[in-house]
Amino acid sequence: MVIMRRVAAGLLVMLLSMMARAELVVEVTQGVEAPTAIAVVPFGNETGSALSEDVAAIVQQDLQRSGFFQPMARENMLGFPVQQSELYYRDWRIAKMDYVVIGRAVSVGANDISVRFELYDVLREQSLLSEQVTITRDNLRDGAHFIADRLFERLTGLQGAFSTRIVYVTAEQLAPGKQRFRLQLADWDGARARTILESSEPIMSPVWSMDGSKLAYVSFETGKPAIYVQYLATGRRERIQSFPGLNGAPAWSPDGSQLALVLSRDGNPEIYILDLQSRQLQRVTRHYGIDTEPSWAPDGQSLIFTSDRGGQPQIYRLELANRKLERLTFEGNYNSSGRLTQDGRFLAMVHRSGGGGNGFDVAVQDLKTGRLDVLTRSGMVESPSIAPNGSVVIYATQEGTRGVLAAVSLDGRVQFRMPAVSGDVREPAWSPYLR
Amino acid sequence: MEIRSYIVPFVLALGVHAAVLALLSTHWMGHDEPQRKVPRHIEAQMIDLTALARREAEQAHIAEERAREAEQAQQAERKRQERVAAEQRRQELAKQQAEAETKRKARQEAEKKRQKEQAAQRAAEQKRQAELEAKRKAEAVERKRKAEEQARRQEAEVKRKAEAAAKAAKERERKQAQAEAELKQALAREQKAREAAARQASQAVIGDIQSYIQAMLQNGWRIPSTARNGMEAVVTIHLLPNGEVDQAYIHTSSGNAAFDNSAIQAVYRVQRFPRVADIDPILFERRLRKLSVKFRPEGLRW
Repeated sequence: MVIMRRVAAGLLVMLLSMMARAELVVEVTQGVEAPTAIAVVPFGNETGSALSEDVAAIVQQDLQRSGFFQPMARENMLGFPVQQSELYYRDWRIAKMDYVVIGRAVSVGANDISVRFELYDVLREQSLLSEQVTITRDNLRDGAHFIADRLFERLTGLQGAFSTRIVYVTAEQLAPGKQRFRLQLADWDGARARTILESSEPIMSPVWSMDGSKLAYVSFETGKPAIYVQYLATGRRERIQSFPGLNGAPAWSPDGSQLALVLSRDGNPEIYILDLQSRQLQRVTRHYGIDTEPSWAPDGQSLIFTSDRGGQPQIYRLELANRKLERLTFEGNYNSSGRLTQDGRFLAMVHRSGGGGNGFDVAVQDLKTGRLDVLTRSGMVESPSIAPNGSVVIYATQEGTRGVLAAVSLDGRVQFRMPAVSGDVREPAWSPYLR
Repeated sequence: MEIRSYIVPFVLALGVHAAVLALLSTHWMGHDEPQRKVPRHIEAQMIDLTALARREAEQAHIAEERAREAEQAQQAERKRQERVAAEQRRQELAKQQAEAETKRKARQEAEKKRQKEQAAQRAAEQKRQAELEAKRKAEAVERKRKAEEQARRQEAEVKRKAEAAAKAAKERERKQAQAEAELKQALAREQKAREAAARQASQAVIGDIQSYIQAMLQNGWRIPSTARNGMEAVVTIHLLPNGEVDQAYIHTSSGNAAFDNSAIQAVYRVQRFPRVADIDPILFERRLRKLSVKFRPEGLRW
């Protein structure tokens, strides 16, 4: 009887509990804002000869510099598995890794090698990616950047920008009164730099067309500033019609048919749009203040530019269809060189906050919320340029008396210097995605 | 109890009644007894005709002997005498015949009377018998009635008793039922109270474990760079009773792969919620075997 009653009571409780069953919901609103822990294990080399590049090291550096990842230092690795059968999740878990990348290179023919790379989720103990890429022996960096792109895309959902390029200008003082200016093209990490233009006169404001096939820049090679277009594939150059006074700060429209530029032919610097086909010039700003540094919004509907019409340089947006002008920046007493991310949400700029003694730094403003974050503390930055996936901003800064290139992830977590190059480095420009 | 105390006196009274009845009945029977024991008989005279004839023959024989002695002399006499004798004989015979007749008549009479008496007696007997029968019947009826009454009474008694018993039983049952009901109510109340307490306790436990799980996950969550304020991913977690994560999967995606990944990773990074193992199994089944975690960053830069 008692037992039955107990059983009945138990059943009742169970019934009630069934009825009262409501899923427990836990809300997690805080976390550790830390890069993802990943181990890029040195790749196995089964090609029979030493490789000119450490592919895994390049992959690791790429991932780290994106700011999204915190790779494990090699010296901390307990082992170097090169295939799945050698991979023990537990070891990597203990090492607090979330992901592990392993790979191995094998020879394919005389000059090609094939690199197999595999991505594993340590916590879930599953394979996320297993691919291979075939490259020529002297293009191992391309292969490495490709692998980094694949991994990045798999893990972040964003297209990797590690196979993109940058251009920048270097200036060298060869002798008193004799300078050498070079327009350089390099991997995004500064490696494999090569000169695509050399001049004894200043080269300025290089900018990529949206298809990545050509550059526009200002060259003083004729003694006067003039805008040139240079095709990367062939090296062919084209001088765009030049106008009296200042010709500067070109910017390609997203469709590549127009060029925004700054001309002072009407007195003070104003922004114009030049149709490259028809050579039609159209003035879009009209103010006695300086209007300069135009840049297209990714949708091509508006231009952002720097103007001191408000008494100090600030960034404005001009709607092209209706010429509606909107001031974007209000924080700080100096904001210039604005660049929008491809999603149009973030504005990177050179920023100087109010109050004396503060220098110029890279700042990012969230156009959705208006929030502005200063990413650097260098004090002398210029020419920020954003990676096409919006992850990193590259900029020029001063190191001692020399200009150098540096980059900072858009969230400010990772900051790094580009490899040292001779001379004064300035005006970097990040390419769009390249095929 | 009071009812039962009547039984003995009742039986005694019944006995006394029966005794008296028995005594009286023998007395009543006594009147009939002599009639039955000594019946009236009719004295009938039996006449033996053969004996008469034998005597006549003897007398004739004697006469013959005398005649033979005085035969010749007394022939005439004899003849006369014979005639007289014959006459006498005839007369005698007639007399005898008459006597016999009368006797027969008388006998017939007597017989008739006897028969009549017998009939009367039979009738009386019959009557008596009938009376007896009637009496017996009456007695039987009475007895029967009495028996019936008795039976009825007994039955009534039994019934009453049964009713009483039933009533008592009913009462007992009612009381028991009431007691049970009360007990049940008390139990229910207790149960309710217990449940309420348990609910409260489990609510407290759940609240506790909720913040515990939250804390563990917040420690384990590496918010990716692609995360933005307003993103929200709901992860369904299946736990094992020892607190280990059985599986975790995206229930509602944030739309951002890295964000979704980070949420899942957070769960697998924690891997085990040790304090869940201490939770009451029923509560675990109810609330913790499957739970939802909403990853919704607050205070991110963007």
